[in-house]
Order: sequence, then structure tokens, then C-alpha cells
Amino acid sequence: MRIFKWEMLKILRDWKVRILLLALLIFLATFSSFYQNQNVSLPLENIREQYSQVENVYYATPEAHLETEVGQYVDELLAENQWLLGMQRYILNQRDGNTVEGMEELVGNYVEQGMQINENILTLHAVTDFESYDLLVQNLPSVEEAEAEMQFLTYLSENDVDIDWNPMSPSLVLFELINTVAGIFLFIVAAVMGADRFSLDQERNWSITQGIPLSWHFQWRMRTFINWMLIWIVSILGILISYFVSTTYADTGTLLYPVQLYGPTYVEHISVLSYAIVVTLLVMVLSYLIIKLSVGLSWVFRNIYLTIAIVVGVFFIPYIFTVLPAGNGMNPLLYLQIEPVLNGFWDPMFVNIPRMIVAFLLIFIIIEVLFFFIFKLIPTRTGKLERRKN
Amino acid sequence: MSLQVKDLTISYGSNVVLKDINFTIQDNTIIGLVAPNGTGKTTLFNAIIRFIPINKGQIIVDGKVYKNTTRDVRALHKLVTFFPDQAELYEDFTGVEHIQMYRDIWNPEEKDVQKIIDRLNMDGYVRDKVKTYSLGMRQRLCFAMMIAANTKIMFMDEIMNGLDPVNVELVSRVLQEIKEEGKIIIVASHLLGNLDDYSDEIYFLNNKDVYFSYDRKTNTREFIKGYVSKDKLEALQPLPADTLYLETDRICIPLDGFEHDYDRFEVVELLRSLSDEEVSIGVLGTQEHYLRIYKGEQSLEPDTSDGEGGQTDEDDETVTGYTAEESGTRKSRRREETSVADSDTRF
Repeated sequence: MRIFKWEMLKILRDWKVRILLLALLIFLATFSSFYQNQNVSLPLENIREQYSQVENVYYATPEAHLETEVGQYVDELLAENQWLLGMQRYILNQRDGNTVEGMEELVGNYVEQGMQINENILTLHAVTDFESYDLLVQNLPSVEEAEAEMQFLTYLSENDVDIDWNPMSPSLVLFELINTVAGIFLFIVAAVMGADRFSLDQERNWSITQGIPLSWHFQWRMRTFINWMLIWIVSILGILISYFVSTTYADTGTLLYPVQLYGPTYVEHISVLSYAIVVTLLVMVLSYLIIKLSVGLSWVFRNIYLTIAIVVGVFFIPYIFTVLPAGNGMNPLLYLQIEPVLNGFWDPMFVNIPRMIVAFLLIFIIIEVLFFFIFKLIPTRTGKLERRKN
Repeated sequence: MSLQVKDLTISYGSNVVLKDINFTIQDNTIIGLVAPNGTGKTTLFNAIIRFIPINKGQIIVDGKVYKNTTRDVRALHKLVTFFPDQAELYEDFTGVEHIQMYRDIWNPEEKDVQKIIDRLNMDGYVRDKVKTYSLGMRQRLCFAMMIAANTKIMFMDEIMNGLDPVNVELVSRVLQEIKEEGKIIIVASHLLGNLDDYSDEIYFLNNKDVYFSYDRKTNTREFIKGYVSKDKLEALQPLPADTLYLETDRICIPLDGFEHDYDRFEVVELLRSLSDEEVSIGVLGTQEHYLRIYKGEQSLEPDTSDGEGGQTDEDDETVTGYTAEESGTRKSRRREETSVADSDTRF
């Protein structure tokens, strides 16, 4: 434990580490203040778009097609949707939650209306004997989209959560921030932090580091843990600051707001809070593995840029499997990027969170075995003796 | 406690640096390790502490063989410390932090590092960052770190580098004090006269082996030691057997080669008249052995060719009975070392 203190001090006295941690804290803490979503997708705009799509169907469908029995049924459903969409537009415009206070009887409930709209859409998709069926479905959301929306609305209903008209609400900004942390950003931070943990010793402090009664393996694990701990103390602090800062100028949103897990074909909705916790835990595990690799490679390479390049390069390994066969979900290399797993880039039937945990365990074992031999085979800084400098 | 090195062989590729080295050191002992640069002193340290792979041989401490396994190496490193390189201290740490760090790693029971600081007169600077230290301050700090580690076996490589005479004396004294705590200390140094101050035994590395060693306690044969140039050597003839005539014109004449005190006195007087250098009586020191082993002996035959310098003895077996297998340069050289052991009687 005492050596832990000295290893910690060695890392904290390194100016590169201090600057990096400070930059990390500033970036994360100010994320909500400077975050600008370039692809804002307001719920209100979605409703408007759907409304215009229904109008398009009316404009483009020959009148005779709507006068048949099936046509009249379609017409009723479309008309109902148009009316419900109009109500939803009004509710969203009032920014008052799922309904408008005092006018509940008149305007209805956003969630119930949304569920009815999507039920109608699914029904319309089933009316295959409608003469302008192709035209109809071209202007409707797909079955998958409608089902996903149904799940979303069911979640809102079951958890008594209001629709959030504001995509910049604290909970949704938090969602974006967590996704950013889970991307290449984390690889770069971890790679830079770990890249000279051993090379620094080998270059500058070898005669002090070498010969202490702790194996290199143990020191590797200890340094990995310290780096990991520092990164996450700063990251969690930064994320919390960012969230609480954003709550000071946007009072909407809730951490129970649903976000989509996996993808359009196999959707699950969980709360932003659950998502943030799950993703953060997964990123913490993955980052530990990345730092472990980076610190270990710093034993092998004294050029920190090479170590950083290799570690960051690992991030892109999953892209190989967009060209090569990915195998089934047990290919651990698929899990080196978290986001594609969560957004359903890979088939969620095979590539999912439980398998990700198994994959991380496999990667951990591979790295441990690899460096067991590396530390054994490269016992000194050069493999031979160097003359003392003094 | 004992440290035994058995049949130790080290090579880098095809280059054999040390071959079949054997020695045993008991506790309460300081060994002076002497050799010119590049002979393998540091390699020997590195091999014993298993920083480098051993081609052949065994490292045995207290009868236990320490193999090249992670467990054995870790156990060995609990017993042995290696003198840190003062250029490799942590520049942003203070001296106290360095001492505490070594204490925490090897000797966590020891609470008070202030005793070490006081003992080595470091109180004036030890709380400053190392980057402000001079060479000598750093060297003393490295020594303090070793004291704080307080391991049973200590390897002190180039320990006196950068130290002024006062601190050389201080470190020498502390070395003798800590030796009494049951330690085995091996000191590699080029301050040969200083080694005689505190070493119990001196090992000379040569020809990839511990070529020669002598115990300073049993080494009691006294010599008249002075300097005489080759062209004046005839004035001293006849010289007794076992007289050494070394490079730098150093001459060592055994006292027991004379029957009467007045003969000895006469030789001393003669030496003083032949040279301005100091004449002393004492045992052969590390300096004389170093010259004999690494530079060779000169012939005691008077010089017959003026201005040509001395002719060296080509025989392997010298008049002193010491083996001189080594091939050193045998040209006359400028006198490099004038210090003599404190035990010498000077004239």
C-alpha cells in the first residue's frame, strides 16, 4: 500500500498528466455549456413532418381509390392520425408536459394519442389491398419505426414520464456526453495517460525503479489502476459538473427519460439514468483494458507516439469486421467499440451487452498472458547493461 | 548471513564478460571491488541481483539458491539493494521523499528518517526538490536511500563519485558503522586509497574473474614504499627478494628483507634522496596491488639505455610471488595516484 502512494505521487508530479487531467475535466465539465447539437430533431418537427406526410398521401392518392370500402377505411385512419397529430402539435407547443393543464378533456394526452397514431400506422401497413398501397406506405413511418415509437410511448406511459420537447434538456445532453466518452475520445485519453508510464522510468529513473521487491507485473497492474482511477475520478467529476450546470439553465427533462438501446430492429428502451450507468460501467471496464495495454506497451516501446498510435489503432479494429466476416457475437474484437453495440450496428441478437462483458473478460486474459511473457522476455531497459551516468 | 556466488558466467552474445566466478562473503564484511572501467564490476552486481540473465552459475544467500523465477528474484530484491544512479533521481521529489520511498519499500518498520538525515548532514537541503541539488548532494542522497532501505546486502557502485573529501570521510565512516549491523557491503570504487579505509577484503576483477583478493586483516607484511626512477634504481641495489617495482616508478621493498633496522633506515634515507616523493612504511595497499595487477611490474634490472625508460618484466611469475597473468600496457606512465593507506608510517 505504501508503494501505491509513491507510484501515485510519481504520476501526479508529471506535468503531462496534470495538464491532461485538467483538460479532461474542463472538456467534460463544460460539455453542456458548449454542446451544440447540429442535427437537432425536435419532437415538434417530427410531428409536423408526419402531418405533412399524411397530407401528401391525400394529395397524391386518386380520389377514386379513397372511395372504395378499403379506401374509406384508410381515409378514416389517416384523418384520425391527422387530427391526433394536430393535437400533439398543440400540446408540444404549450411545453406543459403530456397534456395542457386545464384543457385535459379537450386536447387529450400526448402519449395516448401517440400510441393511437402508431396503432393506426401499423394497421395501414396491413391494408395491402388498398389500391394506392405503395404510395401510402412510402409516406408512412416504417413498421419498425412505428413499433419502436410504440415502445417509447409505452415506456413514457408506464413510468409516468412527460414527452420532452427540448433535445437540449440536461438528461439528453448527459446522454450525448456519455456517448462521446464511450467513443474514440476515451481511447485517446487512456493511450496518452499510459504511454510513458514505463518508458519514463526506463529513460530517467531506471536505477531507482529497478530492483524493488515488486515484480514488473505487479507494478504494471498498480500503475494501470492508478491511471484508470485518476481518469475516472476526473471524468465522473466532469460529467456531474456538466449535468448540474445544464440543470441551472434548462429545467425540463428527467433522468428517467427513455433512450433507445440496440437498434431499429430490436429495440429496448431504458432510462437515461440507466443508460448512463450501464454505459459508464462498460466504458470503465473497457478503459481499464485500454490503459492496461497502453501502460504495458510503454514497457516495450520507449517512443510514446508509437504506443499512442497502436492503442488508438485498436479502436478501429472492429471496422475490419465490416469487410471481413465478423463471426458470431463471441468475437471479442467486436466489442472494442461500445457505441456500435449499443446502437445496434451489429446484430443485437448476437452482439449485446452480456456478451460484451464476456468479451472484456477474454480481452483481459489475453492482455495478461501477453504481458506475462513480455515482462519475462524483456527484463531490462535494453536487454543489456548500460553504463552509469554519474 | 552469507552471500555465495558459484561458477558465475555472464556473456553478451559471444562476448564472455565474466567466467566461472566463485566467492563467499560472510556478514559484517565490506568488500572493495576494484577493476578498470569495462572490466565487469557493474555487470557482476547486475548479475548477482539478477538484473541481467545469468548464463551459468548460482546466487546463494544463506544457503538458499535464488533462481531466475519471479518469486526468487522478488525475494532476492528484498535482501539486496543496488546504489541508485544519482542522475536518475526523481527531479520533482524532495530528498526526504526519496529517503521515505526507499524506507517504505524495504524497511517500513523504521519510522524515523530524520536520524539518517542527521547522520549524513543533509538537513540543510534534504527538503528541497532534487532538481536544485549539486552532484555531491545527490550522491549523499543516494547513499541515504540505501541506509533507509537497510537491506542485509548492499551493492555500492561508484559510491564516492562527486563527493568532496569531507563527505568521502563521512560516507566511509558510516559504511563502517552499518557494516557492524551484520551487513554484507560490496563497494566498487576508483578511490583506491579510500577503499583501504573501510574495506575488509579487496577483490580485483581481471581476465573475467576475481583474479586476486586479499584480506586486509591478514595482510600484515610491511614494505618501504617510495618512488624511484629507473635510471636511479642502481643506487638501491642489491634489493631484497619480493621487491616490487611498479608503473609510475613506485617501489615497494619488504621490510623483512633487511636484517637490521639501520639497513631499513638507510634505504628510507636513500629513497628520500633519490626522489622528492613521500616515502612510507606500511602494508601493500589497494593502490600498489592495482598497479601490479593492471599495469604490471617493471624489471628491477638497472636501466642501461639512457632516456629510453624502464624495461618491464616479461615474466608471468614475479619476484613477489603474485601471479600476473594479465596483459596490461607496460609503457611508463605519468604517476596517477599518490594516496597511501592511513596505516602507513610516512617519512
